Amino acid sequence: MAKKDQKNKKKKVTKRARARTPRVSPSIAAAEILLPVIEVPDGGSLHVIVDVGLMMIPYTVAYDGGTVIKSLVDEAEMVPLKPGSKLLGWWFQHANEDWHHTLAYSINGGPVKVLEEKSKANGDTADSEGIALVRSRPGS
Amino acid sequence: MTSARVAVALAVLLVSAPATALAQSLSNAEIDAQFDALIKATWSAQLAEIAATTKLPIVMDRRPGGSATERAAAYKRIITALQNDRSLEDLFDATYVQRLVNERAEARMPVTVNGGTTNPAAANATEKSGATSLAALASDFSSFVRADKSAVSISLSALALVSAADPNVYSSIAAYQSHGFARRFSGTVVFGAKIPEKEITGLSALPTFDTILDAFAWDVKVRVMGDKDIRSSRWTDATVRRAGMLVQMGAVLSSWVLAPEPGLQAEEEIGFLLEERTLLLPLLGEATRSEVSAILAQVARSAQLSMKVAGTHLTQEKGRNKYSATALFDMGLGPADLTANAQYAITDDVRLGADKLFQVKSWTIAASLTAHLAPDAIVRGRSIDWNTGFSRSIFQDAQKLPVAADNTWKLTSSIEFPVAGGGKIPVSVVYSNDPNALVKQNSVSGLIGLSYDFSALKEILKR
Repeated sequence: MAKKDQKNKKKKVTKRARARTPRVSPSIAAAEILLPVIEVPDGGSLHVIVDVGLMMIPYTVAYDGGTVIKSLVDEAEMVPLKPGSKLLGWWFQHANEDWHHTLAYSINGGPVKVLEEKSKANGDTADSEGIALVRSRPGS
Repeated sequence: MTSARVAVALAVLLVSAPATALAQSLSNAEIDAQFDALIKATWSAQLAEIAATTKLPIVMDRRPGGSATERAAAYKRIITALQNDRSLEDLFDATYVQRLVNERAEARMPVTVNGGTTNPAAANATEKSGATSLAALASDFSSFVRADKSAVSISLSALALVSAADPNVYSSIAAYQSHGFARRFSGTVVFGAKIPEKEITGLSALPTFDTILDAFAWDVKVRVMGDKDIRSSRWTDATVRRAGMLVQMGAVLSSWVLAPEPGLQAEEEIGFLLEERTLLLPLLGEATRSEVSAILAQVARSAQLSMKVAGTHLTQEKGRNKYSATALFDMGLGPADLTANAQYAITDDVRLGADKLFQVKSWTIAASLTAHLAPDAIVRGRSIDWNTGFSRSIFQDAQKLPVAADNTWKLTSSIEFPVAGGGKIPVSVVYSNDPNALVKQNSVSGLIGLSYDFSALKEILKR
């Protein structure tokens, strides 16, 4: 009986796996775990959303060398997308106790996906810098 | 002249107009855009200089070529040059900074928790100059009233009289800086406290020195110099302007310098970014971290002075009132914090009868050093706290008092060892010419008293 269940489980897993069409090769998928990649559909929009606790030093989110958000408080801004592969960069430097921040994005106003979520409570370091690759073909 | 030099020259010309005029005419977003252009032009100019001397190729007008070691060395030189170029801050004037602070969304302090100088139950001789916390006097009084009833302590701030900025709407810095004058004032009232007689009169030689008396106490504190709160306007130039600029520089440069070359395959793009970011980001991070550490050290080492007036009144006996004025001083000394107090107190005493009231006037000077040693050595996230200090009480016109009044002094040193589960093992030594100052010690030899409490170990062994 137990063997039968295991067989059934394997079958289900195989079916699900086949149903998905891999977007990228396994090696790229593995690399993307280390480097977030945001694929914006043709003509699509990209919003970055930042939720912070008490901030003493302004954080910055930049896209392709231009500041998108520089603030001490929660913000959400649309990224002025350019065609091709560009970088989204962010920098948080905390100087107080009990800090936290969350950086997320939304494509075409859809579900919000978290790029980074850090806090003192989780034992994270007080500074956080990162990049994400944004691939887009903005509409005219 | 290279194109990079032309670009940086144009960028410098652009920002050479008086910064104030710029800030008044441009929005913060426009100033940010100017900074972005300036920092990229400066980066390119620095890179061009390095390339000229090292013969390294330049990639996409923003990256050095060569080996990983050569590229890392070039990045390091450029970042150091940018870090040392204070003119980059010129775009961010006071108007820009204030607009950033006031933006809508949405505050290491010398906090005192026990009001030591006017709290006769406080163990420490000195009191921090910051506003008294809500826990305040009652936390210390509790040791005297365990068998009876608890003292009720209420801490008040002048801020309660005005409407503070909503922390859910404005930044913590804006919320703190609004009503800055009101934030200088705080006070405490304590009801139902029970205090030993010695602590009220300061007279240690009386046979009734340890008699517990019902008392009502109050104090009003005003900060007159300095502000060790990092949210204070005196620090925004360092935090919001300077550190904010470094953070912006880091985000802008990382999103620009590391841009993949056009035409790369998806896998090549990611492979390149994974390698190159390990060269650039740690260097940018280190530049920001070192400056922020210096800013925090500057705040910690700054001086703060408060003045406090206080009164203690016996509720069961008439005619015994104590009034005091105290100067409270705090300053960081690198790894240790210095706290110094000077108090003048006048106490009405009616022990010889209401018609023979006399006043006891005294000066008390106290200072202590506090250091947090060996962080993480015993328990992760905690340190060994070492406090050492002295106090000296001197009676004014002691020979004119109708009762014996001896000037006293006390040297104390205590170490608290952290133990798992939040507990601590305190060990303290008191050296005093006042025998009554040693009565609560576990062991007394001559003028020296030793105190310890290993109860925290029992809790651990029970588990």
